[in-house]
Amino acid sequence: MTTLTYRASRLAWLWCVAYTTVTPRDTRQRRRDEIRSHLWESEATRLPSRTVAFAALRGVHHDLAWAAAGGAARFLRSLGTPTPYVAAAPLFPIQAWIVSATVSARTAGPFEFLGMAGGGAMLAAAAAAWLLTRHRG
Amino acid sequence: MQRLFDRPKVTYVALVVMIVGFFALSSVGNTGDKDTNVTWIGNIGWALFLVSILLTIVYTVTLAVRAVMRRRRDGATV
Repeated sequence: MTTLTYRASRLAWLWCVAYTTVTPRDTRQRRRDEIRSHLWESEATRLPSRTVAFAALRGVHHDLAWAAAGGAARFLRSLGTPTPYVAAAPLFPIQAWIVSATVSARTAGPFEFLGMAGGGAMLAAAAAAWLLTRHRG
Repeated sequence: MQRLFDRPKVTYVALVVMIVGFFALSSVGNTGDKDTNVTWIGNIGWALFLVSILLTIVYTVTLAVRAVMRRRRDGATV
């Protein structure tokens, strides 16, 4: 992989890596290769950093729309797998921990209950999704 | 030990189960106003919950460091 020299190109590349993370692997790789190639060309033709940065900024809303279109389908597909439930499970106890550390015990009660019940429910959903995917083969 | 880093998904699932399980355990004997004779079980659960959070953070940082080091090593050999 070629090295990017200018700060604007490197920032544009970091942004590209960030918003493409949510999309499927093939689509992500194609988009990254394409952007990397554009950035390399802009450096090779000595395009001013300001122009590169401005072009990247102008394309942000398009990048986000592209990522949402690719990411939404991937997210919906992932709901049939255990991964999102396992990722969500620890958030319930952690939110309860943060709330109970900052407010009175009486106020924190419902949050602590949610921490316990929500975490358990997410693990149960993960187990169900795992069994389902295993059953489907 | 090496297997822990070879199968991060399984390790994360185990850590998440520990976090949720120990948090649930921490509610045992926790009435909110006074201690009961089983409060010590809840206290152990709470301590283990905090330990499992710490383990998750340490594991994530170690994974990230290993990934960066491997990338640098691969980059140096190409």
